[in-house]
Amino acid sequence: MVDPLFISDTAEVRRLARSAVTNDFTDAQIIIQQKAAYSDIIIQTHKSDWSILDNRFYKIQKIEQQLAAAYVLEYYGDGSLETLNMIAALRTEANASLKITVESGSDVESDVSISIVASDYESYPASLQDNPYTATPYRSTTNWV
Amino acid sequence: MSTWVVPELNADFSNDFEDMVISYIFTKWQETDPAKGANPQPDTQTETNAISFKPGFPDYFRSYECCCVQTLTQVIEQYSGKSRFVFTTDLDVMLRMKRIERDAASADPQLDNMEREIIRIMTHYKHNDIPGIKDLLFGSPDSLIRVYNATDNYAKSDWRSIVKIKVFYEKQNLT
Repeated sequence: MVDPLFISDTAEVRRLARSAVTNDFTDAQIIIQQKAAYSDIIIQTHKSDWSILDNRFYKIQKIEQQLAAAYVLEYYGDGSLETLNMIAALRTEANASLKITVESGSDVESDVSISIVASDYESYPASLQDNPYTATPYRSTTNWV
Repeated sequence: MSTWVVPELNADFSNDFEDMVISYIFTKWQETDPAKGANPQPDTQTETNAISFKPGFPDYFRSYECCCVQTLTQVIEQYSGKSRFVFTTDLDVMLRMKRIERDAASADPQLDNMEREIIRIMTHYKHNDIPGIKDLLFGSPDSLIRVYNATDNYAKSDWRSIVKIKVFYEKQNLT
């Protein structure tokens, strides 16, 4: 399955970004922010296949919407208190929701322990590091034993 | 019991000046950039480029806003026996535009367009267009002010101006 690049509604993101006008943001430009927001969700949830079959989907969609709206508002970064407060509120809410989602998730995690199989050195002198007591130096000889 | 009336209405005003003035501005608005929506508060999904009209202060949910608050009321004439008073009440019509590139080589024109439109509406006001209000006058000495503050910088994206207006009306004591 090809992972979706974003899961939120572009019109809703525009609305949440205080109805940013199309002169400032076309739909295509908002979609770039939605993709970035979805990447953020993937990074934090370690899950990239959020689908509508998952009962947490709508919450994740909402989080993406909030993050994308905050990204859009960043462009209006004139330092005014209103804008800063909006960005901070959206970010805080989205990140808190993501944290709860991750902490209360019951997803089966993949096995992350890795088995490393290594063999000992057999030939002298490298074999000394594996077994310094019984390592047998190879000795060339002209005598037949 | 006293009877306190606006002569044109034969009763006192039943609405606040903010409501009446903003509603009048909305009705008379002809500018198309930004244009008004179907209602004073445009639909945020289908009319995202429309200007929002509301009494009170900006709500920041729109990129273009026109708001109105009442400030100072003055008695400018009073007749003997407290029988008749002439008032002016000042209102601030606040225009707000959230745009990124206002500082670019070519400034976004919408704030100027909004200012010009308010002035046009003001200067076209006819007696009693708003029942009970004899005239709309410009506030003085500051009739139109661009609002800036000390923290503004090249990245400013929240642009505002205030058009100061006065409503001119009369009240009578018919007791």
